[in-house]
Amino acid sequence: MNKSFDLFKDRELAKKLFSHIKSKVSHFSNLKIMEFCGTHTHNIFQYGFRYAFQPNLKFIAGPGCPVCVTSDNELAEAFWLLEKRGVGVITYGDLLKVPYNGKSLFDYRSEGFSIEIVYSAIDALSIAKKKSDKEWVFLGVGFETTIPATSALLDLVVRTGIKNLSVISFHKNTKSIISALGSLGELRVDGILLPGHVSAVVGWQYFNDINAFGIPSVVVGFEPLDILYGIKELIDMIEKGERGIKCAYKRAVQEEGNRKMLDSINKFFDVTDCNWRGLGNIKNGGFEIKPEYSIYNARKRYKIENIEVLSKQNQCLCGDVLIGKIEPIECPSFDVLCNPDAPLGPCMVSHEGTCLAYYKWSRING
Amino acid sequence: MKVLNVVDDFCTVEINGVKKSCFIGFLERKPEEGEYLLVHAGMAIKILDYQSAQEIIDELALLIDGELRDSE
Amino acid sequence: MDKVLITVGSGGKKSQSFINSEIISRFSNEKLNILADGAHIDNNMVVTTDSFTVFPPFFDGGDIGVLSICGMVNDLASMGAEPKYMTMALVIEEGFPFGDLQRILDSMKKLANEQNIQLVAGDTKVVEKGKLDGIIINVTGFGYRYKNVMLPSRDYKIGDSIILTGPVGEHSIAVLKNRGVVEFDGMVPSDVAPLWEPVKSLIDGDINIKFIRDVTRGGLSAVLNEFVSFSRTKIEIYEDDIPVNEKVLAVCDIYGFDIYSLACEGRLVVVVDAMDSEKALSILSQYEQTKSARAIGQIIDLSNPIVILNTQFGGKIVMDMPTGEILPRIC
Repeated sequence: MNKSFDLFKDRELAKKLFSHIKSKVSHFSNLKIMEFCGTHTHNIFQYGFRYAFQPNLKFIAGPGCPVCVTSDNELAEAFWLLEKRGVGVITYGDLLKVPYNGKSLFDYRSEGFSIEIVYSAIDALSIAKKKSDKEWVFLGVGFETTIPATSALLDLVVRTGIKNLSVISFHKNTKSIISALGSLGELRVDGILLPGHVSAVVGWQYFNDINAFGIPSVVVGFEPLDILYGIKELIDMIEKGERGIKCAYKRAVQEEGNRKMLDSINKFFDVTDCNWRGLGNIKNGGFEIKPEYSIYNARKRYKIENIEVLSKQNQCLCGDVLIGKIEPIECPSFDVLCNPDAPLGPCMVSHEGTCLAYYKWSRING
Repeated sequence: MKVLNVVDDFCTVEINGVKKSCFIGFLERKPEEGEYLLVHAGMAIKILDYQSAQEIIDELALLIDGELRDSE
Repeated sequence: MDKVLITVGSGGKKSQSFINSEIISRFSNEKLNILADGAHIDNNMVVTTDSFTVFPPFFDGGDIGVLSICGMVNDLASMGAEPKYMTMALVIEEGFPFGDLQRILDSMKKLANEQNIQLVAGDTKVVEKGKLDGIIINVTGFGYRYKNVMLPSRDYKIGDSIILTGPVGEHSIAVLKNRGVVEFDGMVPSDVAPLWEPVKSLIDGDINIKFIRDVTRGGLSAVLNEFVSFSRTKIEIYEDDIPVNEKVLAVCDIYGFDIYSLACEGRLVVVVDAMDSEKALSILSQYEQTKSARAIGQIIDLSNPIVILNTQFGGKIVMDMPTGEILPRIC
């Protein structure tokens, strides 16, 4: 019983709740729910829920896979650091596959460039210490969940005075994108599943801007029962015409976030405008290392300026797919310029992105 | 993941017999042995509230049971 | 592509397309093109070849020597052949510890003896330090078709049962742990094991076996996809029935690995006639290395080659060919 939180992995209860939701959604036609977070997208897919409630209920994968929204100019910076400055880069495994101009960090590694994968940001310190004949840059990717880890690394870098390690921030701000989604055009979804881990860090009040769209939202965890419970709660809200934000992940999330984590973000980072793959420039969409820590900022240390970016992103309609305005098939690049081997936008980059999932699913009944 | 022991800013957590070290410097208080943590990329975000977890499971079980009774 | 990428050898999609575009296109012939684990050549003889490279060469539950013998035995077993002879080519990096080499050879000798396999030819090369990481072993195995069984079959029916002989992913986790990619206390030993004995018993038990393949790189997803693309069938798998090791599951949970893409070195997927499924399972249950065998699904259509996975929680997904290297995901 008391075994981890296996409570929320209970297969029998999950199957029953699954049927409950299935009969519940049968009263709806074409309900659209956006899951914002990349891990939700992954799990909804992996648990087999993504297509389970069609055609009554569809899931739209939102822009919440931080690696997938890493932009061409950010990847160009990473490639430039490798090629022109001869540094090694350290990052999370997720980023290795993301392509820019036909190449990924994977390809660079095959060519002999130094690329190290870490599970936790602070592991970058031991790599830099161990391989001290080389200069290293940690590529910080992720939302508010992983930013404190980068802060913890920066804190260690400052305290230890290590010379051969700096950080470049590709970090993204979830608050800004939630606000931006509303202004990107009509956000055509009936409900939103809000990210559980991010909310545990920032507190669910962080997403209060969502109230302005009048779309019901639920903060959701990641186990099968968490996700099903969140969907159930969201449908309840939709049925009753309720608005606002509900929390279906109370064991981890409160209205207020984790103060220490928020403080650590504020200590090292400023909010800044930032380019998101498939979505373009988002106001306050990113985090940059504060000027007082410039010597640890790889952009400053290696004087990165105006790298020419060869981008095909303008041919990608991911922005419209992400807000549920169009189906992948309506994008002129879909399966023409853009496919799993040469993806343009995040919806095809992500293993579970809407476009890639669509690409695969078309075969299941075919 | 379940807390096994705490040493300074790190603790050992366990899941299905697999033990792992995680950074707890950001937690509001030191976790105690037997508590559960939400861990992301080697970093503890939150001490989980077991009580509210059990409440949701009970609520769901009630809902499903009620439905089964209704359909009988 | 102007450089060879690691994914060409990963057992996934890229390996498959490399084999088709660079190997089959050049060397095409009837025996090769079925892309089985080995080939039926003259006089009921079956031959298979494999090179083994693993870092580190010693890991929980085995070493590269054990791996090379088991890999060869299991490839022959997958063709329904009893292993008899082998050749061995060693490519060793200058400076490789001599004691390690002896340990590896000793474990090969022990296993070969147990399996009644004779080493009949071999070759040793040493390359300059830094030109290779440690040691590479190539073995070629020769065996005889047992009781005239011809695998893989070309004859499939709706309902044919798909059996998996044990939990998946233990080998990958053992190696990743010994390599330092994943870190945790406690041990998950590799599942590496020779599987001719249980296969022989299936044949002796008159089981109508249609297909056998050992689950290696690319994991269960790769083998099932190879099966559907060879047999041109559509199959359905039940996640509830797939045997798993709780520790492997926990590591996958922590690091975000897809358990079905993780490698094994001692597991088989066996496709048998539905009528024989129960009997096959009872035979397999008698061997230590196959005692947790389960029927995990069946053929549901004789067209539209695709693998459908019914998840534990009520949904369905397409189980795809894995795309590349196993990487932790955190986002």
